[in-house]
Amino acid sequence: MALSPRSALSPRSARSTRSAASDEPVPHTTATGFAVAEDGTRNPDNDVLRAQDVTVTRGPVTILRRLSVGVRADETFAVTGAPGAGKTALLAVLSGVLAPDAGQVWFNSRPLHTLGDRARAELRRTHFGMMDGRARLMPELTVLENVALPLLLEPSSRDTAFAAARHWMGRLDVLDQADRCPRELSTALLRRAAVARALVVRPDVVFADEPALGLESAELDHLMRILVTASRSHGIALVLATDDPRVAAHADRQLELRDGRTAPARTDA
Amino acid sequence: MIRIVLGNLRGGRPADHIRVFGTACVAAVGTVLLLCVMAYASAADTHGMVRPLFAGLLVLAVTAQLTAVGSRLTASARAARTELLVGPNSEPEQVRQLAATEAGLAGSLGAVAGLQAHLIARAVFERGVPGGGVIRDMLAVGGEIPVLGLAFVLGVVPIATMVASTLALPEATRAPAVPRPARTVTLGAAGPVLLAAGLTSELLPDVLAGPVRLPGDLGSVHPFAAGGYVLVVAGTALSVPWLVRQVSGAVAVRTRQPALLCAARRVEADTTALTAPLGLLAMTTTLLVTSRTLRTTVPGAAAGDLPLLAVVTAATVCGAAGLLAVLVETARERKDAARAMHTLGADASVDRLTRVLGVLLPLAVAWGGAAVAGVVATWPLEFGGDRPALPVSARAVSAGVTFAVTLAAAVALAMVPVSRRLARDGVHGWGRPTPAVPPPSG
Repeated sequence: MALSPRSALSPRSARSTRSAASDEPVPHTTATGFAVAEDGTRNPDNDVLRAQDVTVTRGPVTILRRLSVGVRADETFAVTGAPGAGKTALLAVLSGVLAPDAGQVWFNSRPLHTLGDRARAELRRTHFGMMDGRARLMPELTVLENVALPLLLEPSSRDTAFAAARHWMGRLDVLDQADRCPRELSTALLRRAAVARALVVRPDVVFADEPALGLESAELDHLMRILVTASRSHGIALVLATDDPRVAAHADRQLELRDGRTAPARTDA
Repeated sequence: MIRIVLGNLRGGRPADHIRVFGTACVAAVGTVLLLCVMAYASAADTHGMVRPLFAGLLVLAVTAQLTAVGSRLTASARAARTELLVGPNSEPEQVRQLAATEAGLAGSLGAVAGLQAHLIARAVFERGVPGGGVIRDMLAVGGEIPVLGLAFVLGVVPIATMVASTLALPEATRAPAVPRPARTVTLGAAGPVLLAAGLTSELLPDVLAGPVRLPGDLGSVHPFAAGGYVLVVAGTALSVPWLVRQVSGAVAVRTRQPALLCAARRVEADTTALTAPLGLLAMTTTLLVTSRTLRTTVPGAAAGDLPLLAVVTAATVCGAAGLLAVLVETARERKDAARAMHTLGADASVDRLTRVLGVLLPLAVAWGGAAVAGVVATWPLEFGGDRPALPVSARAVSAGVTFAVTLAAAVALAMVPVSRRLARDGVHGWGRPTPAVPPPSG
């Protein structure tokens, strides 16, 4: 996986390097091909995304407890569990929205756990597609502007961004809603627009938190088929967080969480 | 009902306490000012009733507007408390009755406190306390306040707070305060028509109607010129929010900067809520720009000084309070938007710039548009038109400009950190009430 041009390496110390633009530490690579982070930790596997012994606490509550998980390229991976099990927190940690209190998170050869806020935000912009629990679109923007927004955050022209947004909206059958406000759309159309927004940057990984929340069965199947097909056809790893078995059924692998820990295995569907 | 209101005060959130205390304070200050106006009218009855009536109406308008803003800002806490006291299925009518009772009680207490404060201050200055010339003039020490006038003030202030507090109650919603406006002709589009009519009227020759003498020492004005000037000011107040909407929409469809796009769309969505505050600020700007052109060079006060300062003060205070109310009411949407931007990987600087532009864009368009309208409104004078308004002194214009600019700039500067704080920490009982939403999963 090629790094963003802004992440060009420059020497920082004998063991670690730092991005020129973001001034954040990035790893160097050993002779065996494993990346090594600033703190000496190394990517323990060649998964596109990997969390190792991750712990997240909020005040007195421990949300994730020494959790380890890996996601391979091109696969659809579902994190399941009851509400409060830590699914959303795990997605937030894997996507760099949340920094873990302990443990390591690797995206390809980049250690997210040592990156600062700006570098993690840059990764989200350039390599990740995000779809949160309520398909939260900006209420004041049109649907088209919402879908184009991730591209506008990067240095691309308005025409290019809107052309790409229209392309994905067309593929997801929401192009006719382009000039409407999100609040005027049904839940199903909102979800499709959110999927289009997640895919518009052609990411390496798409994170979808409860992608089918509040959808009828027919719409749920339709949306999941679109999401999984688009991900597979573009070689995108898809990480789902859901407590709905109908959504999890679309995954290649599942990981069930219970109280922030891995529940007894139910893998390899 | 009164018992419920008292219970509300005993166990309410800080927002409830601030609302009640604020309403009482506003009512008290309004009462003091109304009593001053009444004593002033009584002491100098040669001026007739025009000025006192005008000043009294302005005081009542500001009292009502500030009470309304307080009611809007704390609607969420009020709804939560009402639900607790009345039950989960409280009718909107019950909420309105509670709001009216509470505002009436607070307004009555404030009016009585204001009366006491006024009487004590007058008594102190009547005993010949040295100094305090301005305050003595303001209190019109020596002027009599008729008993009927006292009763009127004690009645009208609580009524104003009751009506304002009840009418200002917003509906529970999670949607933006205003959806993105449809491309339809709105009332604001009538603003340019009024502007054109006003300018035409200012140019009409005085042979159609001679000057009209105003009561007291207010002098005389030409009815067509004065009517045209009023139309220009009203047209500006209507046009500016419409102009802000048009400019924001035009910016949004052209820019590629995410911060400017989000700010422009935010402003466009809020334009209906911003109509009154922006209209008031625009009106103030137009008045000050035309007054600056029309100011007299004769030393000393002029007939238009007090009316100008009173209108500028009232309009700026009401406009600034309205801006703050809109900011708090849309805090939830701003927070959602900030969270969505963060999730998508936007830098914190994008969010910060969005907030700054969201404040600057409407104010810049409003001030610029109103200033241009003010300059245009004085053009007829160059073509032999009549003076459209009362003469004002240079000192009054300077004082008005200083007050308006300082207050508006202070509010604009304060809005950015307030907006940041609201986006970070949420509103916690402030702003519009929200209906129940399904609990988040995971």
